[in-house]
Amino acid sequence: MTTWHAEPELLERYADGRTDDVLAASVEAHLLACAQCRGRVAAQVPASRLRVNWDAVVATLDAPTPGPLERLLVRSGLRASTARLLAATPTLRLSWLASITLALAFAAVAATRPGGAPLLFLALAPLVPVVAVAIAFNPSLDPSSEMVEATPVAGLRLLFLRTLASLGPSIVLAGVAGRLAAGPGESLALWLLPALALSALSLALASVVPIATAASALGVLWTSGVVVAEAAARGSLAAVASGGDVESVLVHLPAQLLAGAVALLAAVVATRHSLQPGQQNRRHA
Amino acid sequence: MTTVRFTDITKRFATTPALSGVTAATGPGITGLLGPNGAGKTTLLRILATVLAPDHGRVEILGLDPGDREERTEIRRRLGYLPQEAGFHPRFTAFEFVDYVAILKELDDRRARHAEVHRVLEVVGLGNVAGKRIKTLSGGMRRRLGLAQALLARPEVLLLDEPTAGLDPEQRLRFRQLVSGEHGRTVVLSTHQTEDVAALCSRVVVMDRGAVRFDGTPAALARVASGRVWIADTEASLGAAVSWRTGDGRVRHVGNAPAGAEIAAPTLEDGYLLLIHQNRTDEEAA
Repeated sequence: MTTWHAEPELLERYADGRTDDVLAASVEAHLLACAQCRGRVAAQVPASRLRVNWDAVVATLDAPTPGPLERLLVRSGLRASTARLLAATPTLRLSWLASITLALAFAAVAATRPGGAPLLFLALAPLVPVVAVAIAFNPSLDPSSEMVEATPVAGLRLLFLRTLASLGPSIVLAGVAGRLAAGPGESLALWLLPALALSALSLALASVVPIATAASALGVLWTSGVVVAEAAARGSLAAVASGGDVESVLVHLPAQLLAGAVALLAAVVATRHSLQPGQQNRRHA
Repeated sequence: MTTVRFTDITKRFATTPALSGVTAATGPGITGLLGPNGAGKTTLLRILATVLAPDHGRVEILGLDPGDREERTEIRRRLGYLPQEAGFHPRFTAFEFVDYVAILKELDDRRARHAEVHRVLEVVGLGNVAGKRIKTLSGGMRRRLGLAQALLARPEVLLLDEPTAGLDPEQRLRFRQLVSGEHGRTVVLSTHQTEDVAALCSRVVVMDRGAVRFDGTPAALARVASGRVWIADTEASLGAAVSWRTGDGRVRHVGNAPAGAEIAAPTLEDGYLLLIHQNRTDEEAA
């Protein structure tokens, strides 16, 4: 049983929240053991402060606990709110699964076409999985879409974030499937990298330019890159324009390396620069 | 002060016209959009909430144009919206869902956001089920959860589509207390319940078949039926637009006087029923 008691002046400061952390901790240690001081301090804490503290405690208890993936994302430099959006995407179960299925279907069709995929597939590679995600999150699969649509982050930013959350697992799955399958199936995961790069880079660039501009510029860059690479492989632009089935540039090693490097760069830029929804349009108030 | 203004709004779905030339403006206070199902209330609210673009016409929310990308984003920062079909992902907890929407509303600071989520859940009376998965919540609770997300960040314009649908009388009362306490904010709510309008709104816009049929105060809407409401003992009546037997056994007629009837004071509901009836009769005659 304690025989000494905290000074009234100290208790008053503690009740008002005017003690530093160290002092507060020692007062708390004493309070735990001393009913008399507890009684004295209870009468001194302003009701408003109790209310705020209690709300904070309850909010903390009710708040979602970040899982390992979310903690990893935060540790790698991503903003906590963005990490939460990414980590919460799988909870939008039906839409998320649908987006993965559609993305994998695109990769499978592109990778296993006999004679290689046509140039068009390659040119559209960054776009198709993003469109697939948009389709998967339509109102018939996503019951909350109407509420989400009316928020400032809705639109391209949210679409690209969801694309990242869908393509992450899709690429892992495609990678595993590619390992198991022989032949053209090996390039399965590669077909999803351009869309991953487009989404991550657009989000990263959104802190500098409007996201639609960033996405369009990247799209144009990709398409011209594809055409030029194909022209180089075939000897002339006319050969590319003549169309027909071409052996995809993507399955050639340099293009694979390029796509890989772009995706990696995007990931690094995105995490370092942080995918900040709303950074450029911060609230003025 | 005008915060919400729409001029000559037209919207068609395939070949069905949903809105044909709708014009009105409103400011701080509670405006009720009253009308039968299919009147175009939901389409209008979706357009105001920036989730649907009109085919023609001009919309202005807080002086901003939802047709412009940047201005639309700014509107969304200052807007709360409860859609009619507010659906939820059942695996979210109540807190997680509202927290998710809060992030989409750019409440980035974790601590402040959690406090705000907690606040809105308390306001709608869901504080004690915050940690429960949505699939375990009742229909009325889900409705209130939808309302909670609309209240996030204290929006200047609050658009509520059928907010009282599915609420029991007690919850409805609580909702009324909640909304009527929101001074200085523009609230537009749709309903087909005249009691909601009578209890809450300082302004009522009656819509029917895609057009505005009335725009004024609830008292003015009641006056539409002034001198045209009758109490009689018999049901048979020629000329009454609508009539029904009330709880005390007598028959209330709205429209032309039946024989031997006494005149009665009109209510908002009488005015509304007469208006809709006249509108239908006019359209059929045309």
